[in-house]
Amino acid sequence: MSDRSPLDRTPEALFARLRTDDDRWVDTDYRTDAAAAGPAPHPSRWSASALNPAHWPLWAQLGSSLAVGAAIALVIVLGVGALRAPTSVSPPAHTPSPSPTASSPVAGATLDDGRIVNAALASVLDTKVEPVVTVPATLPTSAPGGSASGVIDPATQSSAPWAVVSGSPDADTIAIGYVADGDFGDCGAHVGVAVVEDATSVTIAAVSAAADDSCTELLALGGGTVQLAAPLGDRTLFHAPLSAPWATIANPIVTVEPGTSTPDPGTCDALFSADRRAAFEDDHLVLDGGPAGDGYAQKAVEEWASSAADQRAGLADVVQFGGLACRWGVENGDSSIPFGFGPITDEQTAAMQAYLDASGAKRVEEDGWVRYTGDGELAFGDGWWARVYDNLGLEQQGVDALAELVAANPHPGAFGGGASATSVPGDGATGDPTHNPTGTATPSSTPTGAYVTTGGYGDLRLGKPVPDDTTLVEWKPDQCYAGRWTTPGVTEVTQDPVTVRTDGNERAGKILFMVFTDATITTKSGAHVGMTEAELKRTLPNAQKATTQGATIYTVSDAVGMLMFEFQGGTVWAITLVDAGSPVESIVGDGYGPCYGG
Amino acid sequence: MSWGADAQYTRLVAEHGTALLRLAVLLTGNRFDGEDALQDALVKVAASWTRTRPTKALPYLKRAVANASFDLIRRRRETAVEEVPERAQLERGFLRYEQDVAFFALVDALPDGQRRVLILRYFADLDDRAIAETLDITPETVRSQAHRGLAKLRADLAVTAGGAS
Repeated sequence: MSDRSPLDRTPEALFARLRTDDDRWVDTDYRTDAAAAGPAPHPSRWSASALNPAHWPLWAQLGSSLAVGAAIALVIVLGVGALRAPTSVSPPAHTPSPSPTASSPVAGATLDDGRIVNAALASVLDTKVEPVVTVPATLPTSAPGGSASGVIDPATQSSAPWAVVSGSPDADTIAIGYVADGDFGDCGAHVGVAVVEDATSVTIAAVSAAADDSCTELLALGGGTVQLAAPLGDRTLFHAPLSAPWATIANPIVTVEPGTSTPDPGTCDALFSADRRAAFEDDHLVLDGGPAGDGYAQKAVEEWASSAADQRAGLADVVQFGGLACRWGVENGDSSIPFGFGPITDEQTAAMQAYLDASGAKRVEEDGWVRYTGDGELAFGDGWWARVYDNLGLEQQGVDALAELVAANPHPGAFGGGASATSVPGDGATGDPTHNPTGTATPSSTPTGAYVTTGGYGDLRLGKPVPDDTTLVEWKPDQCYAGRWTTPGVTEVTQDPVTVRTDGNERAGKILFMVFTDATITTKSGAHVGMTEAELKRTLPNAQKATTQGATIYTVSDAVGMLMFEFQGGTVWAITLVDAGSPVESIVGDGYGPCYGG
Repeated sequence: MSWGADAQYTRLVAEHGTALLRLAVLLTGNRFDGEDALQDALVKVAASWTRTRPTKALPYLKRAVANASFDLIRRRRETAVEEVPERAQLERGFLRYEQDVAFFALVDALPDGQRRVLILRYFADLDDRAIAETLDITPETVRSQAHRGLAKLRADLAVTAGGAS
C-alpha cells in the first residue's frame, strides 16, 4: 500500500484510489442488536445496520459476483489440474499395541508408580526454542513441566513428534530433534522429554509445558540429548503417542536397529557415502550442526519456520513424518544444501504427489522410485521419501546426492528411522500413528456436530459423479432453532452460524453460498472454523492457497462446488460452500436457511 | 414482490452496500448522515424495485443514494443552524489515512455543484448524463462544473504540495 502523498497525484487518481482501494476506508461497525437478532431483513426493511461489512464473509465483501467468478475460475483451474482425490488424513483409529511400560522395568530405572520422578531419566531441554536445532549441549536438569507435581506421567503423557538425531546400541544417550511449540506469545515453550525404560523398550515423549499443543502453527525445532539409565542395547525405541494436535499426522515411530555400523544410524552422515561426503568437502561444504566427526548433526534449515507454515512437501514434513533434516553448508556462511530423508506412508505419498502434480512439478519415473523436480528435488520410494533443496546452485551436486541417497538407503530402516520400517510388535507396517504403549485412547481434535458435505458423498472429489437429486448439505431438524440453522442444543442464538444465500448467475446457473461460522460444524474430513492454517493443511492436504484482498483463503473444489476457508487472525474464520449449480430445493429464499419455516 | 426481484435487490445491496454507504458519506459529509441517507434511499428503491430496469439497477441505486443525500442535506439546512455542525467539523472517521482526509478537505471546500459532480463522476463512476439527471442540470453544466472543480483541486493540491515540500 503506497502512502505516497496525495499532493503528487491527480484528483482523478485520488478519487479512483478511494473508489477501488477498500483498505483506505474504515467501515466502523455500526451493526445494531436488532439487526443481529432477527432473520435476514426483507429488502423493504433494509437498514444501514444490515450493511455492516465487518459481519460479511469475504465473498460478500468482494461482491458475490466476484466470488462466483472466482469460484468458477478455481473450479476450472483445479479441474484442469486434474487433482487426485483429496487424501486428507483421517483421525487415526486406535490400535492397541503391546505396552512397553507394562513390562517389568529394568533394574535401576527410576519408575515410581508408573511415573518418572523428576529428571532422573529426563533431560530438560532448553526452554528457549529457536527455529533451528540447538547443538546438544549441557542441559539444565530441573524438573520438566507437564504436571502439577513436577513429574511426567508416561502412562498418560503424549508427545510432540520427534526423531533420532544420533544414537547407538552401546550408548546410553540418544540425541533427538523434535517438533515443538515455539516460544511465541501465549504459546508455551517446549520444555523437555520424558523417558520410560524397561527390559525390552525405551519410550520417549517430547513434552510441552503448554496446556495443550494449541500453537502448532508456530512450529519450531528443538533438540537435546536424552540420558538413558542403561545403553539402549537391543531394546526397541518407541515414540510415545502423539498428542492431539499431532494426531492427524503419522506417528514417527523410531526404532534403532541393534548392531548398526558407523556412521551412527539415524545420522546425517549416514545418509551419504564417503565419496559423496568427500565431494561435499571439495565444494567446501560441511555438515552443519556440530563439529565434524562428532557423529551427529541435525539442523533444520533456516527456512524451517516458514516451511512449516507455508510449504508442502518441505523439510518440515520430512521431520514431522519421522525423518531427518540435515544441512550441508558453506562453513560460516549462509548458503547450504539441506536434505531431508525419512519414512512416509502411502497416504502421505499420495497427498504429496498430488500436490506436486498440481503445482506443476516435473515428474520423472526412475527405476523403482519417482523423482519430482520443481522447488528442489524430491524422491519417493517404497515407504520413504527424500528431499534436497540446493540453494547453492550446485544443481548436479544435489541431484547426484539424491540419487546416491536413494541407492544407498532403499529403505528408511537402513538408517534407523522410519514409520514404515518400524519393528514395533503389533504395529502395522504403515507406522500406525496410534501406537500407544499405555493403551489409552488417542484423543481426537475433530469436533462433533453437523457435517457439511455434498450430498453425503464425503469430501469433495474432482470428477466424482453426483446424482441429480443430491442435496448439498446435510441437516437435521434438531439443528434448527428459531428458524435458524444452529447446532443441536443451542438455544441462545445471537448470530446465524450458517448463512445461506443463493445467486442467479447466467454463466453458472443457480449458485448457493453457505457460510459457516460455527466451529462445531465441520466438513466431512473434519475441517472447521477455528482451525489454524497448519491444522487445515494437515486435514485437507490438497487445499489450494490463495490470497485475495489481503486475506488468506484455502479452497477445495470438485464438480459440485467449492469450499472456501477464509482466515482471519490466523485461524479459519468462515467456511463458504459455493455450489457450482446443483438444484437448490431446500432454500426458501435468499438470506434464509433450510430451517426457516420448517 | 417476487423472490426473484428480492434476490436481485438483496444481491445488489450486498455487493455494493459498502460503496453506496461511502458515496452517501462523501456527499453528506459525515457517516451518520450518510447512513441515514443510505437507509432512506434503500427503502425508497425497495418500494419501487419491480419498476426498476435491472440493467440500470446499480446506477439507479447510486442516483437514489445521491438524491437521498442531497435531500438530507437540504433538510439539515432547514433546521436550526446551531443543531447542525459545520461540515468541516464533522468527524471523518471513515477514511483511514490522513492523506485521504486532507484530500477530501479540499473536495469539501469546493462549491457544492463542483463537489457533487466530482464525487458522482470520479467516485460513484456515473457518466455525465446520469450525473446531469441526478443533479437536474444539463450534461454541459456537468462538464463545466467538473472542469472547474478539477482545476481548483489541482491548484489546491499544488499549493499544498509546495507547502509540504
